[in-house]
Amino acid sequence: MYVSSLKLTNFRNFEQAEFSFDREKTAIWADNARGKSNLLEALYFLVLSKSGRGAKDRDVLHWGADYFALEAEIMREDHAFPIRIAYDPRVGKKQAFVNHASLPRLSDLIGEFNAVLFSPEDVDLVLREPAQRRRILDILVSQSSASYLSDLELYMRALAQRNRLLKDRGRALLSQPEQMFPWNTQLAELGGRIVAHRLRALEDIELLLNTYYQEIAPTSEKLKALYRSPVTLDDIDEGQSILERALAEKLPQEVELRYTLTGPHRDNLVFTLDNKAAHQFASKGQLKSVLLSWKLAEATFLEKKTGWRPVLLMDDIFSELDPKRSEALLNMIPAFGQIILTSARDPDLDFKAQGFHVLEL
Amino acid sequence: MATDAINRLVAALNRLPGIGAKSARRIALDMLTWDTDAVRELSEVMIDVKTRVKRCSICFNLTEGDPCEVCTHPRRDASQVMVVDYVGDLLAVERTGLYRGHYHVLDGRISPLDGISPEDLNIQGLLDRVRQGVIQEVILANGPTVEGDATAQYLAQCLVPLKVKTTQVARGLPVGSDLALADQVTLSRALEGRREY
Repeated sequence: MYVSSLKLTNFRNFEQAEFSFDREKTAIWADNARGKSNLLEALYFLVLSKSGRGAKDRDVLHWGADYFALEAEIMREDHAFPIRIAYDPRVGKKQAFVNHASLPRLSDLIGEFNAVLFSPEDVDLVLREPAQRRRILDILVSQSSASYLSDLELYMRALAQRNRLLKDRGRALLSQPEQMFPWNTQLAELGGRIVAHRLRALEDIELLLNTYYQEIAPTSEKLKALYRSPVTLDDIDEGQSILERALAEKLPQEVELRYTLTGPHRDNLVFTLDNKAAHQFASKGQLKSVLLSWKLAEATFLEKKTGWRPVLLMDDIFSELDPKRSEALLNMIPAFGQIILTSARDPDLDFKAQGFHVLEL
Repeated sequence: MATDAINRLVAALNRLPGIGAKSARRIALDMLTWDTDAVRELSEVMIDVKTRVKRCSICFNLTEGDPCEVCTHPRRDASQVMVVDYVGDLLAVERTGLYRGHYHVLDGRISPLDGISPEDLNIQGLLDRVRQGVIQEVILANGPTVEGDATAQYLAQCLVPLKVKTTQVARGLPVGSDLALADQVTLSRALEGRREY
């Protein structure tokens, strides 16, 4: 799978712009502040129908503009199909179109175009915060399973309802178990499925993760991803009853704190290097290698799950990675699909010699 | 420049569901071209409906007589009761013409975020009906949302001590559509609810 062209209207700094990409290797070459990262953000927008950086739709709107639109041509082997996303804040509405047909729900777009975005610049944000680590896991799993995302949305809704009940009634709930019961049942059922998906996905990428890490980082440290949850891989089929029990156990604490303390929204994804938690002990360089390994493993995982090689989007990797890691990465690229990377102008980097199609902004 | 009278009418119409400011203006201006009798008839019908239509004291259906036509129908099966969230759902099931049992309208779904708790719904009435012993089966037909599911689970839990058969309507594929067009959730629900051929 690859993206052959992208047309932007009022997206970030692009008022009107059109780009075409090589089916294998494209390097976007520009001085700073020309919108290199914005262009990758736009491409990744086609995956999630929202910003991969977590920006709000209003924030990606070109300054002073009324609406924005993205149009891309995606190629799957021999057949091409267009994806279009349009947002108009005056009606507060965002719509996605595939093959010119409007999708009933934005989440239906997920899975049409697969890509993996690596931006080493925000590695701290991504790997140091538990919520962000859950998010990269959610992005990985939801691209391989559409029902996962829908379960996650329903879970968050049921969670908001349960938290509201805890907030409104507090301790009174201890003598009203019937009020909690329906929400516990829903959270446990949806949560059980969510955790099972996460655990299975992690099991699938475990080996890849360490293999890529060894190739990128000049070290023999072992990288592992551990999922900390009341449910484990061994009792994956009993997830629902385990979560039901966990919710019941936490209730006395929950009525004091007035929010839900257990479930996939509180589970923790922890990366370890030689059994030491990376978010606590690793250097920035190590964290970058961890995130890069994760992204490459994600690409291979998606290829296995969907049958299509996802597009690799890599933001400013050469200024962020040291020369050894950069070289290791360049050597690994042929094993992946289309790659689109950005780089600051640097006379030392000869992209053309590396077979890249160079796109200057 | 619209007069005060027109503005009042526009504002009143604007309260209707699905009628925005533009449509409200269009309807108001159109109404001015009607015969006075036609306008009078419309206003009388509206007042008539408001004064005559009540809720059924048994099932909370909309009705002119109490109990409603469904509850008093001699050929309908009083041993089955279908629980729905809203009167609109009851009307939709009635249009199929397939269901011959009775109903119970809850008038909402449990939703703490909207300040709706079980006590705000017509649940006690349902439990009282079941306790009378005529009802043999309660069919839960709550909407397929998080709140609808929570409501169904709440009811199922309340019905356990009453030892009445409790069932839930199946969820599955829309008829006349393609399997390939169904979303994943519908597909997986349909798969879960499969039955022997």
